[in-house]
Amino acid sequence: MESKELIESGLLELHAAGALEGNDLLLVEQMIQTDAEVAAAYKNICESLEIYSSLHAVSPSDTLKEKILNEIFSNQKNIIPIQRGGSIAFWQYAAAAAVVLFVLSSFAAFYFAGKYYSAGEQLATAEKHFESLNNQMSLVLNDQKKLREEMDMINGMNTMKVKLNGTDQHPGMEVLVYYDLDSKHIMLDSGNLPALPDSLQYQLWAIAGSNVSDAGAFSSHYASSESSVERKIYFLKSATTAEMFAITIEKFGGSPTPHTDKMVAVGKIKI
Amino acid sequence: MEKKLSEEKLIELLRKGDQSAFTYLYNNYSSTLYGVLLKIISDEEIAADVLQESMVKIWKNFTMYDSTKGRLFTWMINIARNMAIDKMRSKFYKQSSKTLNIEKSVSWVDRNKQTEFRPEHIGLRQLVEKMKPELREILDLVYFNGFTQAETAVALDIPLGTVKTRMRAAINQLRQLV
Repeated sequence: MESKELIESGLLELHAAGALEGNDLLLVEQMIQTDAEVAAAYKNICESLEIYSSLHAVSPSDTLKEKILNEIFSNQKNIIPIQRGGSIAFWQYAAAAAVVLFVLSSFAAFYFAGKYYSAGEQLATAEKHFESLNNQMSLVLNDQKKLREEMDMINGMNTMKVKLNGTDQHPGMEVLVYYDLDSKHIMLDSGNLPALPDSLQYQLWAIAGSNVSDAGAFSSHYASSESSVERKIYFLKSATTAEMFAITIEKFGGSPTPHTDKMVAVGKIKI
Repeated sequence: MEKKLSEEKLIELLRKGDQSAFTYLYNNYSSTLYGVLLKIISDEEIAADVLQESMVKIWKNFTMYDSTKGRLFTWMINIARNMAIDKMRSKFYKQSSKTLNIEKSVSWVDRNKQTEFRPEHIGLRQLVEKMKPELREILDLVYFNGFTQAETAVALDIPLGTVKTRMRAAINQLRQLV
């Protein structure tokens, strides 16, 4: 459409009054933007409508003016710092956010550090507990092994149970010796033998006729640290032959020959 | 007495969010906007609300004003006018059926024409006395009641082409008389 044609069409007037739609609206808007003559004509139309509008003017009350300007400027106060001091506001917000994050992360760090140390302590406790259980288990297994050996010895088909009774100097003493006739192994239950000074030990002797052989030295009581149960059972040296057993008090570690004057108990194998 | 500001200077200050420039804008243009609103909405309370909404919109959306597309005053009047027309149409729709009924629209327009004449409208009264009734009718129907070209043709029972020529004649006569 030519400029002149558009100017005379009435479309500019309708557009100025806001009555155009669709293609007409697009065409007119484009012509106003691109055609100076059309733009000038449109401007004149708008001015006429402005004057027509102003003929209808009615002053709003001062109350209304105050209300409106307050509404606008009070909102403005909230907006201005962001719009005008954008970068400052941004850094202020960023700084505030950083402080908040720092505080939060510090709390989190303390919290998790606490958790970490607590977990470490718990782990250490658990490890100690496990170690303790492990030790106890070892002791139990060890005891069980000893008990089984003792049971095997006691229940052996050819094991002789020999009771040794106290001599006149040591009345009331009772000691048990288990002797396996096949393996020749000896096990001793020290019974009610009292404890000796550290420098002395009891020594068992296997006697067959005039032959006296050393069957091993032992203390009166088992060292409790090696077992969870205090025991007084000793596996001693094997004896190739034995008809009877005797116990004497000797120096620590035993003597090559017995001091018969220090005999504590004696017992004969009863087949 | 406020110093007179050029439109260019006013626009420049408003773009920067200058509060005194907006107060100047209000002092110089609010009465026209309010008058236009009262022409469209007879209820003063609703018109006052719409004036406030319009002013807030003008202030908040000032960066959207494009001086190459039209004059500042026209832009402002159009904002207020469109808000008022939207308000009346939605109100009108609520009061009547949900669909646009031209006959009812026209009867609503007729009711609104009975807006009281105010003493300050001497200039308007003189204009109305001199302007051809059919030209003022089409001008008010389009400008104040927001009728589109097609709606105006139906409402006045005239061809689309006649709407255009009559609208052009109305503005031409307006230009001669004011």
